[in-house]
Amino acid sequence: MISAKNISKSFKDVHAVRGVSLEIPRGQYIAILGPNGAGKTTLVEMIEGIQKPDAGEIRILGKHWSADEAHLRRIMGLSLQETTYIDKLTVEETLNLFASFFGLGTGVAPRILDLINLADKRKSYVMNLSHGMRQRLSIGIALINEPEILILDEPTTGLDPVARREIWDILVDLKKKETSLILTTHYMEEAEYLCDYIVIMDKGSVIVEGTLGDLLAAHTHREVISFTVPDRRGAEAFARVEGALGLVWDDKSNRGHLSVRDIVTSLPRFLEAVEREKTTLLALECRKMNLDDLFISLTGRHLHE
Amino acid sequence: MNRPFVNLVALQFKEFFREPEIIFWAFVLPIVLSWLLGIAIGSGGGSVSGKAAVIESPEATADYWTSWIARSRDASRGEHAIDFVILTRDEAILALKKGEISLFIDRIPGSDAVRYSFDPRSGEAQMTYLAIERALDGARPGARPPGEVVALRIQGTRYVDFLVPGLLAMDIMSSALWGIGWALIEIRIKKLLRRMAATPMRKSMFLASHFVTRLIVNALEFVALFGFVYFYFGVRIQGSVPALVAIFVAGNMAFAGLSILMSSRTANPRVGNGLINAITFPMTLLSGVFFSYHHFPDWAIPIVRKLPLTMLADSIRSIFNEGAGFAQVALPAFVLAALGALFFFAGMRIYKWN
Repeated sequence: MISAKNISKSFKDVHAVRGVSLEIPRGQYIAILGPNGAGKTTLVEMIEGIQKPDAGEIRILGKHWSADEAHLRRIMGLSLQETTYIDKLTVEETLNLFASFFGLGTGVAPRILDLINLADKRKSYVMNLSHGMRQRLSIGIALINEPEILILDEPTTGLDPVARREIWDILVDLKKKETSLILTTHYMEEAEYLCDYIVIMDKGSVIVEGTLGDLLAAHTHREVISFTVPDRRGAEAFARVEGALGLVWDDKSNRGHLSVRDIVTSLPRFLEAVEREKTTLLALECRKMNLDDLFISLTGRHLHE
Repeated sequence: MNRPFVNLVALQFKEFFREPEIIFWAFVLPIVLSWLLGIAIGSGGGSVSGKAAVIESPEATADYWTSWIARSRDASRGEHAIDFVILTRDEAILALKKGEISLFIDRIPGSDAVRYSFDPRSGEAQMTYLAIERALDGARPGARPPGEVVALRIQGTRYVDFLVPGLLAMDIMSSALWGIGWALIEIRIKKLLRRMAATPMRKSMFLASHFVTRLIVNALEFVALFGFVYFYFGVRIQGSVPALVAIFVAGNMAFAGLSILMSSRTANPRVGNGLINAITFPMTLLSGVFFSYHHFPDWAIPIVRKLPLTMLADSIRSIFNEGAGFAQVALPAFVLAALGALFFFAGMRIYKWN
């Protein structure tokens, strides 16, 4: 349904996207994960037809942006990052404005208001909405034309957990309608909760991708010892304990993520190393590797950076 | 040492000096404006420049006036630089309505004294009158019969008659530049423009909607201002109202087109502000809104006349004060409309939607 082949994009001396290829089947929910500056927004903006790739090809339902822009605009719903709607327009007026761009009447707004749970705010000025409500309005605008493809660029960034959950509920409901979703996020749990297919990007490239099940099967057989110590002392010794696969060290927080084959074997050796190095454990957590840990082990960075 | 205050100051300097356009608008524009004001008002120590007409009649022939003007110039010893033109009375009244002169002088029959005719509420006319009188008195005040003053009340010759059409034209310009140009820049800054452009919305329609909205708003502003001066100052439209509507629409087209072109690439509020000021300030000063552009050197006048605001202000003024109709404003209306269309399509071509 959506096919991106080897697409690249640069801005002056910044390579935002480097040779990314993706195949997204109809009706799938796909999450593009990565920290700030990973190239997620540039990638989706090329799929949205907002930016042109420097190289590569994008086809959506077999169509190109250059030849079929009008058609593609009609079947897509978008929520872009940082859009500020007109302050002194009401929620309902804003929806009606965008409905009119699709040739739709005022009858659409009440349905969308119910969908995004803003019916009681329909007469409120946009300037008086909370951040979470504005994000829901943005998603409502994206849904106004009942799109076949919905692309949401970080729709929950900066929202509190309750507001985030409200947006998740809207998106889960949409799944029944076989809408395809491309969602960029730097929240791993959001990707896990909503999406069937996950693409993890860093520095403009895809570093790993697959269905949630594939990724978990391929990587989460490992286990992680996550710990905090007062300083870097002993880090080298921890990396050499029996069964260790790799240590990612964060100098700022003095935290280590030690991935191991088997925690039962490695944990006693790790604790011995702590004692031997005469350091103190300030925090310790042992768990199965999750996608967050996978990202850290692949890039050495946190998703939230 | 890493002091927050020093960093804040440095940050603002860096911000300033890393934006070449801001430097241009901040430094070059005031220099250009001061130059324009300098040549308009004069830069000598208290000297007055102005234009006055002397009225040719059987009792005061061209020869009489030529010698009178020479006497006046000699007597002034450079204290004023009044330009005199010899006209008939009807020509002088028309020139007064157009702002080409600020007063006219005729000879009192059977006397060597002269009579000054002007609107006493015009500061410029008062200054010109006083400068000529002072020069003629020279070192021997009272040695000649003093000039009489006739307060002109002829419809269209008062300063307010000159001012109102200019203000109406300036309103159209300012309203378009801020109401369309600035609004579009703001929408781009809010990233709403790119969101709208990512719908099937027709882009030309989006821009045209700004023109139509502004046309209606400007019409309301026009009516409100005219209503006030109609009742308060007794300003009347002596020419054709349909011609006024035509030049009004053409003027709106010109400035709406200019606003769209001006806003086509800018996403920085300070650059946008500078651009609007760079367009509106010079035209406000040059185009004869508050004072006649005939004060400018002769070489500058043909250039000034080609400015959109001058064309618009002159056309409105000719309809208000000189009884002009379609024929008189057809050419400027066509040029303004064509300029608007040209600016609009040029703007559309280079418009930055994303």
